[in-house]
Amino acid sequence: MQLSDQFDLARRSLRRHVLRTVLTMLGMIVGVASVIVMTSIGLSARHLVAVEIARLGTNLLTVQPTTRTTDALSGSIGSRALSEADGAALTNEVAKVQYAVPVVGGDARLVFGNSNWQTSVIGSSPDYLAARDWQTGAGRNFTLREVASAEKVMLVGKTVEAKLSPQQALLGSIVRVNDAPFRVIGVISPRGFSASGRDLDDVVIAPISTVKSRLIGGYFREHRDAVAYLLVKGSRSDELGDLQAEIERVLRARHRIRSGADDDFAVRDPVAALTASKSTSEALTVMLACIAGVSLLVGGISIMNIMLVSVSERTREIGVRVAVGATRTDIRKQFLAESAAIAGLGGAIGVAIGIAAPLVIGPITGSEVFIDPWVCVGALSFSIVVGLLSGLYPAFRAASLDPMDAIREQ
Amino acid sequence: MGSARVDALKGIDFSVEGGEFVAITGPSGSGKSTLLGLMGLLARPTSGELRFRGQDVANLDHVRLAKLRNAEIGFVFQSFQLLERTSALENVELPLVYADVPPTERRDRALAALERVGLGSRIDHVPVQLSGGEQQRVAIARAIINGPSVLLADEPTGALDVRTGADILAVLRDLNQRGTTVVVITHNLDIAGSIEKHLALIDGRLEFA
Repeated sequence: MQLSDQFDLARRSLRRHVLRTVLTMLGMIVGVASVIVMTSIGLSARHLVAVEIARLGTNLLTVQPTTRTTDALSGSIGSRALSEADGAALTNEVAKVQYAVPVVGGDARLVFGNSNWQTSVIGSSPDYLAARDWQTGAGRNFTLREVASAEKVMLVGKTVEAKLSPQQALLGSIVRVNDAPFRVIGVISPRGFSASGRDLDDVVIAPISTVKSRLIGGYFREHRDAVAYLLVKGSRSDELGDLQAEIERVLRARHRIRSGADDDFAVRDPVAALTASKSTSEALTVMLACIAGVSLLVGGISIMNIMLVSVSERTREIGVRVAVGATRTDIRKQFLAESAAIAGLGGAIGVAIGIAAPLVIGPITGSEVFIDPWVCVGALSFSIVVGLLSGLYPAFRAASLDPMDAIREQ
Repeated sequence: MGSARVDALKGIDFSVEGGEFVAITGPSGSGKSTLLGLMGLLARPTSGELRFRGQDVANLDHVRLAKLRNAEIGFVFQSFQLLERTSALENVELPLVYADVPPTERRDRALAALERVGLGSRIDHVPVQLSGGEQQRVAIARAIINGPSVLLADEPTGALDVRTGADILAVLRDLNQRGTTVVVITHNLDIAGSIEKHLALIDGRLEFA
């Protein structure tokens, strides 16, 4: 019997019981679709982490104070543990440090003409942009001299510019920041959105001295040398561990911390933390895909069940086929073709759904969609293999029927 | 559970010559169906010799037996045994599917076979749309489509009224006159009496009637 005849036979038989066929396929459909969707989610998550790592910049460490003190006079809380002088010392004393820039931050309200906009302000040194791998798209960066004299100049992000002055460029204009007039001397090149959906262009950068004295009050106003954190950029990525040890050594010496005592600061590698969360989420994805794979096996069991029903329903048909010349192999192939067709068709529908679902849902959630074609091919092949395996026993049972008994079956 | 061995047929020694028209009768339980299974190569004897065209077929493998059934033996059953929800034409084509005959040739030969049994029309009807006589004609067309040398008919008129049964018997007689060996198994003595050679199965033994 020709293969084309086998599949024609399978097709007819499946069409004869459309509802039953579809229900039997469901396990395969759900299994294949969820394997593809799960891996798609995993790939998207991996992509988001990669984007986030790129956004953070490479070779970056942050040094944050770990102790807090309350100012006796004002009652404001902060930390003197890290200072701008620490940053300067790291830059000068550690060869592997490319930049060690002091950073403070806060919120500020910007007013320009009739527009006003609340945004976050970063106060730092001119090296901040270079440390972060950011560029000015228009205008210029501020200078060390402007930091020294606490000039009221600032760089704005694209979003800030768009909110305050949608029609014309903001460069050169005077914008009131918390009621103090600041001149816009530069616009930061657009950076888009972070993985968590934060607008990276909704930011203002100004000299750290100006920010401390004019924009954020509290602790930093009384302790002009204090910083929220130091942003350290190493010269080579493979030396981050060494760099971290060097930073700790220099700072412990500067802070006169006795050996055995705890640091009053913490060096962190934000990329390392992200990488850790990335491997966690990848492990989770693999687990979810495996669970989805189990439903493929369950789908296989339901195919076997239906094939056994089909064999007993068609006992007489099998007898007649044997009488007119079908070999046992022909009978076996007939039922194998049928179970493979159920599984293959279910798998194909599952692939279609598995591809369509992320494509539909992805744009709604605003995330990029990734589908691995090899996962689709693999899931489809696996479903066909499961279909063949679950058809084996029913097919052998059909082929081993005694034709005389089969024909006499009522 | 134990199973007792029952000898359905015992000590039978007979032969059917090419071109004969033979009736085999016997009461129910006499082993008619077993004999049919043996003659149709659907079952193998537990002991003894079974020859088809001089060749010992008792020990042939399944594939060879299937090919012999396909090419040399046609079956006609009491309850027609047509495939449900399958047109008359496709039912008749069935043996050719297993003979690897291409689809267009199958159709032509099936049409010719249906013509020969007197069923030129209604070929696209499924079995439930056909009368008993028509269904049995379809079944005979299926049995002869591959030009078998032997036609085995198991109670071919058992499910039909007397008149239709006579028509079907006439079809079988016609086929016999064109050279096909026909063996009719029946418990109907009237029919058996109208057939040239009549053997009776009694308690597993075969005798001339």
